[in-house]
Amino acid sequence: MNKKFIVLVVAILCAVMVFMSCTQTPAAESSAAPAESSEAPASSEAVASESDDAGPDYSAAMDKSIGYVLAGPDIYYEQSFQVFEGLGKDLNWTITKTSSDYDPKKETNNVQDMIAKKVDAIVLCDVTTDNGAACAKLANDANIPIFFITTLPDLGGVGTPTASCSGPWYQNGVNAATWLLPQAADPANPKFVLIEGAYGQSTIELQRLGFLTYLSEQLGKTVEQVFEDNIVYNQTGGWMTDGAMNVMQDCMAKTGGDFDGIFVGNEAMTNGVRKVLETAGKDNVYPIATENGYEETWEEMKANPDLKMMVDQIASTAEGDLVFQQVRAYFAGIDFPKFVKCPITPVTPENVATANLLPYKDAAAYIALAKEGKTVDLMTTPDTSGDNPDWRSMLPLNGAKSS
Amino acid sequence: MNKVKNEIQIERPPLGKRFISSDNTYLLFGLIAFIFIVSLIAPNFATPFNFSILMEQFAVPGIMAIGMCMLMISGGIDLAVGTQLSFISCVMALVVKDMDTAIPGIAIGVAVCIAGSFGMGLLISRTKMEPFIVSLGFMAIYKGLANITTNGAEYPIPGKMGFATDIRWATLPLMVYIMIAVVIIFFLILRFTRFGRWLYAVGDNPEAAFLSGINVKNFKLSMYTINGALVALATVLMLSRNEVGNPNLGVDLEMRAIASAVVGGTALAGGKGNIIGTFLGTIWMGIISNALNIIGLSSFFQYVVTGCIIIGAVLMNQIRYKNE
Amino acid sequence: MSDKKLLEITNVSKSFFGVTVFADFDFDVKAGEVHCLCGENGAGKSTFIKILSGAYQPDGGEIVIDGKKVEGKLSPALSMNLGIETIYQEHTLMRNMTVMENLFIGKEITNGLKIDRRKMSRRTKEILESIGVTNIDPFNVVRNLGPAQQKFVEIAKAFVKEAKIIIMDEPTASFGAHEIDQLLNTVDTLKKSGIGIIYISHHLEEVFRIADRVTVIRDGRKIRTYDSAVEKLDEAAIIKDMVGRDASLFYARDEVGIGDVIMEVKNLSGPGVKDVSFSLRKGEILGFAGLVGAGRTELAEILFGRRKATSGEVFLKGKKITIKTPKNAIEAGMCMVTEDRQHTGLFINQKISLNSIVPQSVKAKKHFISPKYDWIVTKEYINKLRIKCKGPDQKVCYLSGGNQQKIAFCKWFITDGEVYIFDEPTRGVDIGAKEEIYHLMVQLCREGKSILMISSDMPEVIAMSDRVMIMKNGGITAEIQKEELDSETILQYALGGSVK
Repeated sequence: MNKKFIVLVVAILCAVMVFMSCTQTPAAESSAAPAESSEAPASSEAVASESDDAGPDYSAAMDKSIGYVLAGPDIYYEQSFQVFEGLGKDLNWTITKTSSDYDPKKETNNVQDMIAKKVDAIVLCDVTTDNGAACAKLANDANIPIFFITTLPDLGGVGTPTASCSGPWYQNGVNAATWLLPQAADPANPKFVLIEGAYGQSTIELQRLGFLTYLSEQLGKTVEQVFEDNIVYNQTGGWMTDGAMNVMQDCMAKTGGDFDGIFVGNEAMTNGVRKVLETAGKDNVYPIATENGYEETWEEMKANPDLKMMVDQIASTAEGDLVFQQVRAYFAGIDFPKFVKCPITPVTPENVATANLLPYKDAAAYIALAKEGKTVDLMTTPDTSGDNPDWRSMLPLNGAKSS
Repeated sequence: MNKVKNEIQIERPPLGKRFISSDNTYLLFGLIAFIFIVSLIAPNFATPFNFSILMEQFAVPGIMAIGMCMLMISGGIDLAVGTQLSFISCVMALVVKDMDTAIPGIAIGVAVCIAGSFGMGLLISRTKMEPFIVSLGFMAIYKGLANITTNGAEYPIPGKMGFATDIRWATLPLMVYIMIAVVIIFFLILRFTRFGRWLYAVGDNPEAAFLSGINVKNFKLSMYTINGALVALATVLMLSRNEVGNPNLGVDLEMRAIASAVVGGTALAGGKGNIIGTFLGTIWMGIISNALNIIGLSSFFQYVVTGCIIIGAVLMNQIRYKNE
Repeated sequence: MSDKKLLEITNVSKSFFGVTVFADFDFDVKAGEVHCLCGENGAGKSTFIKILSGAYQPDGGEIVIDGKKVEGKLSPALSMNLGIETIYQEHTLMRNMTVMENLFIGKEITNGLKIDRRKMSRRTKEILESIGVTNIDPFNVVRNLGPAQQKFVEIAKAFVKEAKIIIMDEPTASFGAHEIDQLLNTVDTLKKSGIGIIYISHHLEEVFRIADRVTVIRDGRKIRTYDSAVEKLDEAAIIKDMVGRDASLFYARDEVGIGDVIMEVKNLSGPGVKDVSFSLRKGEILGFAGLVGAGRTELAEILFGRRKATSGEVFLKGKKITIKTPKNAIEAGMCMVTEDRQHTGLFINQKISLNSIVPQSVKAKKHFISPKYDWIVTKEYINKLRIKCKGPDQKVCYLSGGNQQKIAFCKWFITDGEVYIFDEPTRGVDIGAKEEIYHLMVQLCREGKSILMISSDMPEVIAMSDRVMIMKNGGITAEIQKEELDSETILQYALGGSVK
C-alpha cells in the first residue's frame, strides 16, 4: 500500500501544479490568472461619462460574473473582448474568457461550462449560426441571459438571444458595391472578384447578399443573375492573410486579371490580396473594397491620396462597447435597444481626414475614448431586429465561382 | 532440479487484489484527487449539473476512444475517425434535411460509414501498408469529401435527431447511457471472448497468431469494420447533440481518442491496453477544459495541461514497468 | 597460445534481491586460447557474460583486463573499448540492412563524403575469408541469411571491432554439422590471431574439439577447470560436474508400441520442398535430419499450412486433407512447435495463460472464455510440464529459455492434437529441461500421438527417433531405421555421399 500512497501524493501535487498560474489562495467564487480574467480595484463608481447629464444609476450592474465565449483566435474577436473587459473593470466584473477554436462541439461545451459555472451572463460570438441558436436555448433553459456579438443570431431559431450587437455586414456589402460599381470599365456590365471570409457564420453570406442586392437593383436583374453574370470569382480566404494569398493567386490564374474590382471580406485578407497583386505588378491597379479599419490603413490613405481603396469602418471595438452597454443596461434594469448593429463608416482617401475614426487595434485608446463618451451610445442606436435578410439563400453560392 | 523452486500461485487473486495491482488505480486516484482540489477552488465544479454536462461532453469521445483502444491493442490505428465523423455527419444531415425525417438519413450514414471503414480495413489487412499511413490518407479523403458535400457550409437539422439528448433519465441524456453500454460491452468482449484474447495475440505477434490458427487478415478487417460501426454510432450521438452536419464537427477527435487510450495504458505498439483504463483516460482528457472554464482560467491553458497529463500518465506507466 | 592473460576475474560475485546467482568465481583467458564454459541453464552463464560485457556490475571481486585492474564501474562502453565483444544467442544484427552495412555500422568506409561501397564490400569479403567464410555475399540483406550465416556475420563484426576477447554464447544453436565445422574452423582461425575466446556451449562434442580449457559452472560457482594440455578431457566427468549426477543417464528413452499409419504424405512439393513422400504411424517419433537449408522447416511449414503446396497429397486418418492455412491444420488435429519461439512461437509480452489458450480457442471454436477457465487450464499444464514460473498471470518474457519452450509446447498439448511437428524442440534449452521435454515426447507417444521431429542435434535425433528421414536440397535422400542409426551415417546422407 505504500506505493499507492506515494502516488496519491504525487497526483495531488500534479493537480496543484496545474493551478500554479492561479496565484491566489482558494477563495469562494473568484480566482484569476493575470491576463485573462479581470479583477476590480477595491472601490469603484459606476461609469458615467463626463459629457452625459445626471447619468443613469448602474449600481445594480456591479460585481457580475460574465462568461465570454469567442469563436476562435482572430484579432477581430479579441479586440471586442479587450474593450468589453476594459470597460467591465469599472463595474468590478469577473470575466471568464474561453475560445471555441471554430469547433461547434467545443462551443456547446464552453456554453455548458459557463452555465455550470453559474455566470450571470454569457457573451457569445458563435461559430455557426445554428449552433449558436442551440447554445442560446441552453442558456434560456438555465435562465441565464445570453448576448450575441459580431455574428447575427438566428432570431427564429430554437433559442432566443437576450440581445445582440452584430456587424453591419449587409450594409457593408451594399457600401462596397456602391463604391465599386461606378469604377467599372462598363458599369452596365461590371466584373467583380469576391475574396470571402469563413463560410457558415452568416457574416460573409450577408456581405455577399448586400453586395449582390445593390447590384441587382442597379442593373435590373435578379440576385442569382448578378452572381452568374457579374461575379467572375469567389472563394473563401478564411479571414486570414495567407489564406487570401492562396485564393488570390488562384483567382489571377483563372481570370487572367480580367475584372474591374475586388471586394475583400476583411483587412487581414486584403493585406494578402495586395501582396499578391504587388508581386504580379498590379499594385493599386484594381479598386479594393474591404472592411475593418486598421489605424495603419488610415495613415496610408492620408499619405497616399491616390490609393484605390475603400475601407468600411466596422470596428469590432465598437461592438464590444455596445454589448458592454447592453449587458450593463440589462443588469441595471434599464430599457435598451436589443438588436443593434455597430456603426459603419465608409472611408476612402477623400474623407479620411474628416471621418469619425474609432481605434481598432489599440484597445486601450478606444477604452479611454469610450470612458469620455466619444465613441458610440447604445441608447441612440436603432434596433434593427426586424432587419433580417435571408442570408441562407447565399449558402449554395459559397465558393461557387472558383472551380 | 537442484535449484529453489519458486512458489506457484495456487488461486487466482481475488477481484479486489487484482484491481489494486492494476495500472488503473493510479488513474482513478489521481482523478479523485483532481476533482477534490478543483472543487475546493471552484465550488460550482462538483455539482450534479456539471457532472451531467461533463458526461454528455465525453460521451462521443469516449465511444471513439474505445474503438481506438481496441485497434491499438491489436497493433493497428485509425487516424481517420475524426474527419470520418465529420463527413458522415454531413451525409446524414443532408439526407435528413431532404427527407425531413431521421431514419433514412441515419441508415444511409451508417451504411456509408461502415463501408468506408471496411474499405480501409481491406487495404490494411490485404496489403503490407502501415495502418498509420493508410488511415492518414483516408483522413484527408474524408475531409475533402465532407467539404465537397456541404460546399464548405453546414446543414442544420434542428429538432430532427435530438433523441439521444432529449430522452433523459436521472438528468443524464440517453447518449451517456449509450456510451456506458458501449464501455460495458467492450469490457466484456475483451475479457470473456476469444475475440478479445485474439486482439492481444495479434497485437503482440501477428506471425505467431497466424501460426496459432487465427486468420489474421480477416481478424484485422473485422476490427476496422467494428470501429466503423462505433464511429457511425458516435456520429449519430454527435448529431443528436449539435444538430448540424458540419465539416469540422469531428475535428481533433482522433487525437483525443488516441490520447485517451494512451493515458489509459494502451501501447501504440500493440499488445497492451484495457477498456477501463481507456475510459478513465477519456475522463481525464475531457475534464481539463471543463475544470479550467469553471475555475476561470483561460482556455488556452487547457492544451498545455492536457499535454502534461498525457506525458505524465505515460511516464508513470514506464516507471511502474521498470520496477517489475 | 601464450601465457599472457588477457582477462582475469577473481572472487567475483553477484546477487539479485538477496538471491546469490554468482559467487566467488575465478576465471581467466589467455591470448590465443579457447576457454570453454559449460553449465546448465540458470547455472550462471548468462550472468557471467553480462558481468564481462558490463551490463551488470558485480557485487564483489576483481576484474583485471590485459594486466590492468578495472577501477570503478565496468560499463558496456568501457568493456567494448577494452576489447571484449560478445556474440549472443539472439541476433543483434540489423535485419533490413546488408551484411557489409552491418559490419561497418558507425565506421563506414568513405570516399570523401560518399560511402565507398565497393571498398566496403571488398573489405567485407576479406574479413569473412579471414575467418574462413566464403559463401556470404556482402550485398545480401541479413534478413535473407540463414541463422548460421548470420552468426558468421556477427563474428565478423566482432573481428572488425578488433576484439581481444570474444565471448560466444551457444553459437551453434540450430547449426547443421557442416556449419558447426565451419564455425569451429573459424574459432581456430581467431585463436591463431591471438584472440582469447570464451566459448559457452551445451554441445560437448564441439567443446572437446576446440577447448584448451574447460570450466564447469553449476549454481553460480566454479566446480572445476580442466586443462586439455594436462589431461584428456573426460566427457562423463564434465557432465557429472554440470548436472551433479551420473552421466550414464545420457538419454535412453522408453520403448512405445507403434500402431497404424495415421498420416501419409505423397509427392508433396512446394517452396523449398521437392517430391517428398513418407508415412507416420501412431506412437511413432519420426526424426528429420539434414543440413540447415535442406528443406525440413519448409516441409513442416507446408504441412502446417504456413506455405502453400504446389502439388502432392496429404492423408490424415485415411482421408485426404487440404491444408491451406494453419487454422486448417489445427482443426485437422495437427500441432507445430516452431524453431524460433521468440519470433513465431510465443506472445512474448503476454501472460502465460493467453499464450496457452489461443490454439485451443481456435480448434474448439470456443467463443466465450472466462479468465477463470484460462487460469485453471494453464495451471494444470504448468504443473504437468513442471514450468518454473510465478503463475499463469506472469508474462512469458520473464521466464528462462527452457521454460519458454515448455510454454510453446503446452499451448499445443492443450489442443490434444494427433500429429505434432516439433522443429528443433530443445534449441536453447538446458540439459535438465531437455530431459523433461524428451520425457513429455515419450508420454505423447504412449497416448498414441505421433511426432514429426526436426532436429540438428545429432544425439537427440539418435536417441529419440524410431526412424529418421534425411533431407537434402528439398528432397528425402534416405530413410534409416532405429537400429542402423549413427552419426556418421546421418551425416553422410545429409551431405549426399553414399554409405559404405
